[in-house]
Amino acid sequence: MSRGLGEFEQLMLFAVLRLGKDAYGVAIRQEIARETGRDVSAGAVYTGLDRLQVRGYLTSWEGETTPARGGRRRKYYRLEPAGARTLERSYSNISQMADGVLRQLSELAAGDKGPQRGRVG
Amino acid sequence: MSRRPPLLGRLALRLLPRPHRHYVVGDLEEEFSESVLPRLGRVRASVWFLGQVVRSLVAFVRRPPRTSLPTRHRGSPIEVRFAMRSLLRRPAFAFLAVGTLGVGIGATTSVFSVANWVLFRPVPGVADPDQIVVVEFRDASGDDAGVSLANVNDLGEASSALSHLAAHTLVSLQVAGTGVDATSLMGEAVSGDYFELLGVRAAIGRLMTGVEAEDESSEAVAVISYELWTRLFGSSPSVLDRAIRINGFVFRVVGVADEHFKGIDRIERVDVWVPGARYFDLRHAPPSWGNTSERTARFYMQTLGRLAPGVQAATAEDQLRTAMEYLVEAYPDENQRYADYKPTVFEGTGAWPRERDLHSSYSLRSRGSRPADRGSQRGQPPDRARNPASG
Repeated sequence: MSRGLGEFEQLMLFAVLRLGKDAYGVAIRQEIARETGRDVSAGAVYTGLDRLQVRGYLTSWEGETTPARGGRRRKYYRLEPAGARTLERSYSNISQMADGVLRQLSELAAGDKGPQRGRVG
Repeated sequence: MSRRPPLLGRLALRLLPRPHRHYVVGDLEEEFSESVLPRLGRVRASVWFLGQVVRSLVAFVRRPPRTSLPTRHRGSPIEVRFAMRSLLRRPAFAFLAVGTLGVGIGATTSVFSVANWVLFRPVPGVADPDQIVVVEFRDASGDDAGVSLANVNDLGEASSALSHLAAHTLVSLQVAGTGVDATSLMGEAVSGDYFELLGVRAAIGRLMTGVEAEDESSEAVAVISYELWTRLFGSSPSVLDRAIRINGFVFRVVGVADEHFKGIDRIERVDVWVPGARYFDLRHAPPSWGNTSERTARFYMQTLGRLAPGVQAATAEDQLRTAMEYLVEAYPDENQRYADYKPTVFEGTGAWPRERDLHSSYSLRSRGSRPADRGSQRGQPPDRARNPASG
């Protein structure tokens, strides 16, 4: 039985998918930051990618090196069919559950801004 | 201006595990020089870089451990790191595991220390402990009986296999004296051969003589331990000939035992040695116990022997049994019970049992101790055993 995907794992798989041939560490981090505003650390990206690769969702290969990297090679990732299926199932589950309640969700979120710290005076 | 990130951060990144280190460092250096530095300037870019370093290190420490390592890493430093990370990720479990180990190791160490002290260490202050044996008087069921000093002495005389035979028993004592606070301590009532058998010498003064030890009509004397001499009498030589009160009776201190000798019991430290002949007095025995010098007087003493050089314990046991048979014939009324309770020799090798139940199983040195094996000796009565009644 395959384990479900966490939110961060979904974000990374989508980033790899969106980037296509250019999916390597820096690009993945920047893609996630650009689209979601989340600033994740390089370490977190690699530990997450490593985990997904162990599960067979991604493959990786070493790419070119640049002077800015101090001679170190990039590591590129590609989404594998197993990863694509899992991501698709995971995302469609969320979509199904969200279907028809998104407006209600938005209203709820807008109406209640959470516990407010009351300011006196 | 250098386009490289701060040295401190680069050094810290060396803590990352391979092979990820290679790519993380490459990514961060690339991003630093190509995007962050031009955008934020040197100072803020450095702060960004250090923040990334710290967060990356944390991410690696906190990443979920694999359930197992590939077999190629067995026994390698990677396995140690794997174990450390697994523990760090579960501090409660790690605490429990380390605590359990600690308690376990501590308990084992304590038990071994006590066992070593009680069972294995040579008894201090005793010469050639390997030659020492324990003699008990046991019937077929393994029950044992006390024996009188008169019988012990006759047996000792009769056995050429034993150079000495002596009796001793622990006795609780209350010691008091002028300028000495009343003290409860452990004493030992001993027979005349006791100190000589053990090869114990006096630090000052002398040890008790055979007559003092076994004749009730002689003066009541006591030998004290070196430790008691130091503690209670300030190591003063004036302790000699001093009168002390023991369980209400007056004794004269005649000597201090060798510094290392603390008795032969592995658990109780003995501080005063008193004559075996005084044992009934010190126990405030009822008149029905009779007189310590009588052959019927039964002491629940342990009887020790020292094997003559080159003699086997089995030989000694055969001699003692033959001698005891003579004693039963010679004193049929007094010694009737010893027709059943026969001398049994244990190769104690410097260790002495306290509890009767331990006798059949105690093992005091690595080679163990056991009742003397008489298989090869049976039917060969010792030639020098003689009837003590006729001697």
